[in-house]
Amino acid sequence: MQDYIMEIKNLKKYFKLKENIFSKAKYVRAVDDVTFSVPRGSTYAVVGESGSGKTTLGRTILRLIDASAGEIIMDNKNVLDLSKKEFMEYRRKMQMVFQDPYNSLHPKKLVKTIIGEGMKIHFKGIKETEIRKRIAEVLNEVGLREEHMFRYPHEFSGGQRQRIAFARAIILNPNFIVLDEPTSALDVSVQAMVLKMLKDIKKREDLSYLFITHDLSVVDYLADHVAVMYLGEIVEKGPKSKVFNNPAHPYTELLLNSNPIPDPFTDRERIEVKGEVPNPINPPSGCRFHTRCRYAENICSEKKPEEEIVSEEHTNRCHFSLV
Amino acid sequence: MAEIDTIPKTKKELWLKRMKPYFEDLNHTIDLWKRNLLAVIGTVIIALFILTAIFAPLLTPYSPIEQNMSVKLQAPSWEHPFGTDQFGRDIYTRVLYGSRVAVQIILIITFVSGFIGISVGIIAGYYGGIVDDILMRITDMFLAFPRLILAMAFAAMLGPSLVNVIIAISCVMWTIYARLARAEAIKVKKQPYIESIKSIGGSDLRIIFLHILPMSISPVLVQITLRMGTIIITAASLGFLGLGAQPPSPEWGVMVSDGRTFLIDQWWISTFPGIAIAVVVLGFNLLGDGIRDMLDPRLRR
Repeated sequence: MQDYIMEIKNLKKYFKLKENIFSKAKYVRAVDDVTFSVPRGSTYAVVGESGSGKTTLGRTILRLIDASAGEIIMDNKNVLDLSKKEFMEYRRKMQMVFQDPYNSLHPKKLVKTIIGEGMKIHFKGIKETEIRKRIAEVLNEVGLREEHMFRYPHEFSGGQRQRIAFARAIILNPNFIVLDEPTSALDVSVQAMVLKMLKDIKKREDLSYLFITHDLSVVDYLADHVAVMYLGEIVEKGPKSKVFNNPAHPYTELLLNSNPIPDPFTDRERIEVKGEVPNPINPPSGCRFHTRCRYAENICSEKKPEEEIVSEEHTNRCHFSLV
Repeated sequence: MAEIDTIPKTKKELWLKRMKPYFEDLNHTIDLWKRNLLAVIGTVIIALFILTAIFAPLLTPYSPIEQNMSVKLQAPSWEHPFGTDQFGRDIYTRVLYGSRVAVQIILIITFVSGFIGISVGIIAGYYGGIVDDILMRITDMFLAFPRLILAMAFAAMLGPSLVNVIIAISCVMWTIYARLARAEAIKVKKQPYIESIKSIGGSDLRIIFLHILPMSISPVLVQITLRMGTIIITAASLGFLGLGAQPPSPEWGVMVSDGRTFLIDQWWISTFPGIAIAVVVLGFNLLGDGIRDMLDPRLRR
């Protein structure tokens, strides 16, 4: 059996909308019945367009917001059932790096304070000199220098700030990190360096990543497994090579097709994108993608497709699987 | 970053490095202050007011309370620059000593109402939901009444004395600070850096005290300075109405009230303490406006 660092089963997160006396409470189904497992030591990418619930998924996994239903299993325990106190250990083991490097660091604190805060929270009564030693270590690891700890976040560039955010995440020796579009706010050359750093550190520290992104080239570079999300649901998931080479779901096909290839002479058939992402308060009936799908037929709007196995570890949720 | 970074070796170096942005900020603030004439005037008035309160006994040979019937109701002269009242007390002396009472009132009320207001506001803003609803509806209840009327009601209920005036005014002043602190706390708590502290396991207390409080306190502090003038007026009004400090205390409102019956023939008894109130309130307002302008991000940089 495969060793999973984290198994997510039927995870749901519904946001309640303001109810009034005239209407029933409505919900935004940001994450709806999501199931997947992250193998130890791998990078699991979650892709999807804006509003598909990727970020909410990441935040729900880390219990930054409370899940509505489902299980998250780590070390054979459902971490959603743990009390706040019991969960503290998992807070240390699971870390998050946020999308926006400009707002995720406290603007009025020294880098030393920002990175060292986790040490102070988790190791009560630790000596300042020890914290500093460790900060210097992680700063080196993310490609910054020891003396940078006495600077303020505004003295750094976006890429450097993201390195600091990453240093803050790894200082506690976690084994699972949620990376929420860590490179989307950076320009391309910096992106490459940050991604390389992420890859190197993963290998060195034996980490597992949940990589949330909309950028398929990044997924191609970093990920081992991919899950494609659409309107809160995972429509297709599997090993990267299988999903990328043989997309089974029309939405995956569309995403892959719309990803630009940096070669002006490549010719390929262009798939037109119909319409906008539907409103998640009122998701389409049946298959949620049928309003924009070019293969859609009547059954798609009537019956919700079941998850079916395409090949080993590769699952799809469509009536007209492309494979 | 032209300067070469070095690791600060001594505590002092680290402190200097840490304080550098604040020093730069301070320099800039002083520049802005110098350019704002009204703010300078306000600052001078308030400085004089505070100095007077500290050195009152050195500035006058008389006692503010001792009566001397042989010199009662004298018009301003070299000996008694502001004249004397119906008990022969030197008005100039009483105005000087009155500043001590005023400083006392301002400091205590500001501290008490600021503390209540900031705590209530930040707790409401941070926790949100039902906590927010309850705390803010209580605040609304206080805000629904005109401030002076409410302060009068409290003072009348508690009985007239200086301590009760302080309690009464604190009870009405905290609401403004609470609303402001709440708004700031809501704004700050949505920032990703607060969420990132949560994700590394920071407790609510840690987040409130180490992260939200320092980021949301400065607009409240500005508002608190702006309101100091209002505090003096309210305290003096209560004194004037007999609900505040009691004679023979040299409180300005009480003094204005004392001179009321003599206003036609002995105008100086009420007038000088009245001028003192006006000048100090003006000073606080000018200073408060100045501070607000100086901290206005559109004027900075």
